[in-house]
Amino acid sequence: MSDIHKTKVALLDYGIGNILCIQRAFEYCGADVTILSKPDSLQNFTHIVLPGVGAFQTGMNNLESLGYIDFIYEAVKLGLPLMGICLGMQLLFESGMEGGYLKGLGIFSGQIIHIPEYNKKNERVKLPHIGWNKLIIAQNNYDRPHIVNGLNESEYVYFDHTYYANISDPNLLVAETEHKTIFLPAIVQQNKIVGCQFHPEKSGKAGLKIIENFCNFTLTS
Amino acid sequence: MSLTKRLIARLDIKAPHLVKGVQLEGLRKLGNPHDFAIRYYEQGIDELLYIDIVASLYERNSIIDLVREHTRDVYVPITVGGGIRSFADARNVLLAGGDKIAINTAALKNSVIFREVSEQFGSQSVVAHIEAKSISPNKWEAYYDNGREKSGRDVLEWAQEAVFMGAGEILLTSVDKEGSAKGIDIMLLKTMAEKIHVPIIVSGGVGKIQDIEAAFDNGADAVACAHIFHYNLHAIQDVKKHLFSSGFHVRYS
Repeated sequence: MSDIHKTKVALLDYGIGNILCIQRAFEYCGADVTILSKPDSLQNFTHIVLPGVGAFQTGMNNLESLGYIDFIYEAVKLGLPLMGICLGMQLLFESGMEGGYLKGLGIFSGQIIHIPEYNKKNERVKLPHIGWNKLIIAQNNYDRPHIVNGLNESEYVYFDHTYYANISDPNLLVAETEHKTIFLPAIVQQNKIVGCQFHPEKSGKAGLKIIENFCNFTLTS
Repeated sequence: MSLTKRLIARLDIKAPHLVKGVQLEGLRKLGNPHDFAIRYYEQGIDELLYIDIVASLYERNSIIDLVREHTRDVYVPITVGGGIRSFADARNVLLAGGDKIAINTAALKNSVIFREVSEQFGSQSVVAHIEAKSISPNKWEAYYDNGREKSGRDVLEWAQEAVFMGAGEILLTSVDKEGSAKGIDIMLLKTMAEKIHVPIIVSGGVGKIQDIEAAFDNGADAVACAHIFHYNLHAIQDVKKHLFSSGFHVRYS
């Protein structure tokens, strides 16, 4: 049996995130996972995963000092499927407003901002947004590989964040969630680049399904 | 629609055993925590809470090895507490696959630990574990070392400081109710929920489904149960089904 079709994931370790659980979830879905602590030849991989927990600035600084920024741009140029998780998703946007204006990778258009502390009805919103919330699949006709295939209609996933993506391009939106009448993007996607605000590796069977779908993206699909 | 109310299984660990305390005193060994964790995951638990009940006293950190092993089979969030003394300990928990770190004793000694961990990993990964003991009507004192030592701090003031310093969640254990299975401390929860705007996890005293409902009705975002799950009084999906049919917003399908 040739391993030519095997999913080979490069999981970027830039000192910020619980990569172990992500590694295990991808392995559960049948992927080979290599934890990279510095950029390596992209030829060795079919998929790139950018994890991340914590502060936007630390994340960008670490990506830069480890030389990952060009690595990520190169992967995107080659059309490799890329998934950003939580902070990893946020870093894919143009900028973040976590303690002042900070430049992001600019792959997705939009800005990472604080979830409002009050909603439009002037009700206090509990933050951080921690817990299981429902995925509301967006109704648009934008053509892309299907990251939410095979999910039930009411699927819950695990969120753990205070900042969210204020997207500029509505076509990015695959799914959102609602917290106290405030809508927050949950899954964004552009071609084979996917961002999950929640933690698919911590979202039970629904999360594993999303990871499996991502693993099924191919360079040519 | 909003966040669902969470059901958490609390696993008190005296490595390598799962134990259950009665009023935080006598300990009973219940078995291998890994078996319990897998069962709860399969039954649809929303989160697991591991508390190393001896770490603060005997300077052990073996719970980290245990968590590293369990995250191989359990794809829901795990919060780890008990004996987290430093930023390095917190980092080790996250590297082992833990998602959130619950800190009590070390923070009462110096609350800067909340800031150190939250600045690096975000406040969403920092849980202030508060052990509250009633000292007079509507007044509670913060305890530490698993309900054995008093800090002299007022629980509500301490919770506010913890949030100010970076804690993103409060794990509120009632020392009076812990291990009693006789219901939660409603007044404590209510008073806390009025003052605090981060999620509150209630722990201690749940003996029946109505206790969980009472917690959700009085401001809890999550309830941590040990007794009713460990002794198999109710399967998790049955509890969820009951809560769902009573109109609570839970992850149930």
